[in-house]
Amino acid sequence: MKATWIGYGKRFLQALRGVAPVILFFLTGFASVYALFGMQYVCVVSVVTVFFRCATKRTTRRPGGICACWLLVRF
Amino acid sequence: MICAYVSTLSLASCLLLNLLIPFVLVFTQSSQFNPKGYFSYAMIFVFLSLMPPDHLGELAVEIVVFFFCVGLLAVSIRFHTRLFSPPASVPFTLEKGLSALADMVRLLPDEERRPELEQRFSKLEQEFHRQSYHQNFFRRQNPENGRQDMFSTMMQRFSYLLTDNSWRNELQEDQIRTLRETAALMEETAKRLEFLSHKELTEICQKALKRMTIEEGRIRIFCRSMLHQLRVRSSAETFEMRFAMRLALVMTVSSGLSYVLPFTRSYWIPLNAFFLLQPSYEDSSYRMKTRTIGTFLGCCVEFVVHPLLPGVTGQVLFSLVMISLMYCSVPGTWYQPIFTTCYALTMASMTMRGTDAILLRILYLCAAVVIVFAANRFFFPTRRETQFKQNFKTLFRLNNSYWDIIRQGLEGETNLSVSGEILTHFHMIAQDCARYLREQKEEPCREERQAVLLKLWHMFAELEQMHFLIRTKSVRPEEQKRLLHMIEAIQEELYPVISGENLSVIRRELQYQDPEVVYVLDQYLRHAESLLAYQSCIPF
Repeated sequence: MKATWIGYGKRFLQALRGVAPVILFFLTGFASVYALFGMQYVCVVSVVTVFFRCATKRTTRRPGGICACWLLVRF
Repeated sequence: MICAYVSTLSLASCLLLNLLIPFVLVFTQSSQFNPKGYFSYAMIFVFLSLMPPDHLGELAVEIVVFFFCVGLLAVSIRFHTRLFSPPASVPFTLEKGLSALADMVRLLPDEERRPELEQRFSKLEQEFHRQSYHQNFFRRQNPENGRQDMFSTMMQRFSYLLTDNSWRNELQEDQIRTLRETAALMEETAKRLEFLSHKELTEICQKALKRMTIEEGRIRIFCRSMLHQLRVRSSAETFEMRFAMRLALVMTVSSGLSYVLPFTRSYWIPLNAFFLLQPSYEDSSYRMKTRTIGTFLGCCVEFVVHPLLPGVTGQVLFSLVMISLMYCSVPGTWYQPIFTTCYALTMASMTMRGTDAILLRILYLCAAVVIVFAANRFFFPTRRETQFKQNFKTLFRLNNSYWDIIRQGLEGETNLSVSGEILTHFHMIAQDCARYLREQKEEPCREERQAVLLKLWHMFAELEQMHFLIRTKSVRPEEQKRLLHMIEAIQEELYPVISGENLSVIRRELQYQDPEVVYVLDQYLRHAESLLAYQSCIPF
């Protein structure tokens, strides 16, 4: 049972690491649009995030990149 | 964006644009080999028409916001590429393809390296066919297309040698040397493809053809056809329509309903319908189950958590966490809609009562499920199995279409781009059928169908060679009438119903002066005859 939960946790962290740039992009876009234009326009960010996700899916991650991503997520 | 705005102005424009835009997007951006190509573009239209600006001023701001986000996207992609990705791979070019093929021709005599060659060739073939297929819609005839057709035919010649080993029995030193010379010529041509004039290239190839002293046989046919191709350098029912109609219908009905309903947040109907409708019937049915379960669970979570959130800041933070989790989850799973629902409901609860939002969310989802279910079931359904059968039938039909091209070639000149297109189409469909059979392990007659695919592939390679022989006038004028009768007889034997009873008779009557013509036709008819053993497994 414990091992199963650890397995889930690992898979979750792996998924989080993979989509960290997408989340960061969304959050940056959300914050910028909210601050500059207002809440009613934030749905545009969701659409553009789909494009960002598609564009970044095509590239392969390198370990250095993953570390940099973690740094970005942490700080 | 403008279309999205116009679609919100009146019911008529809403219905018309929701019918047209998804249809056009699927037709131009998707294919059965890239079914989700429409998704990103359709999402812009759907999302932006959900919450329309009240007046033109707001539309202008929305356009500014959109371009702001596009700028952010460009910067972020650049940043991401530098930080996370290796240098972008070099896109496929004809020069690169020709050079790679030259290298493979050089390695062809080395039998030990055959598995490596097969792998390299398969990669090159996929890269080339993908590029060619997705160029079809707006393609115009130009010299570049001519070169691509030439390359396509050269690949076909090469694959014929690579997959059939019988020619190795006759391999001698002078043939290996000829192969190397052909490879060197191809390599040289690849480097200077843009700079060589038609005349210069013709002269080089003509000289090489004259120098060729090896005996008649497979290697000679191959090398000659390669050189001839270099010399002649200048030279759609189905999935798209069905899915385009289905998506257009679903978007029109759901958006129309959302437009006429006097209740708030009715745009959740087209939004849910858009995500529920998938290119294949099976995927859509699966999503209808997972999205319903996920949405219901999400509503339960929201019902419990929402009252505990401390003010607007807490609500915004909670929704951002939820949307981040949504990005972490796999689309189409039962848990992804939990996060989507929590995000949407928290945002909606800022302007309305939480329980009302939950009730509306469930009701609108049910409406979307009903619309998608009806469209999926009764309006051009695309089941995987049906699609496979359709594809299989298309492979046979393409065989007959190729014979039509050959017939035209007998009566006059044919454009190589026509055969290039049919070749690309055949290979994309054959790959799709092969993938389906690989994935469906329980499929009846699986191995037999795989064997049929291979035989069809051989037959297509032989048709390709036959076309080449017709173009080089290897069939004498007095033999043409006989060949035309034979083509008619073969077409009748193979499609739309495979009878094949007379194939052996046709084969015994092969009498042409050029031995290459007899050899290619004999091979074709032998492969066609061998299909009869699998007649009960051919799914149409």
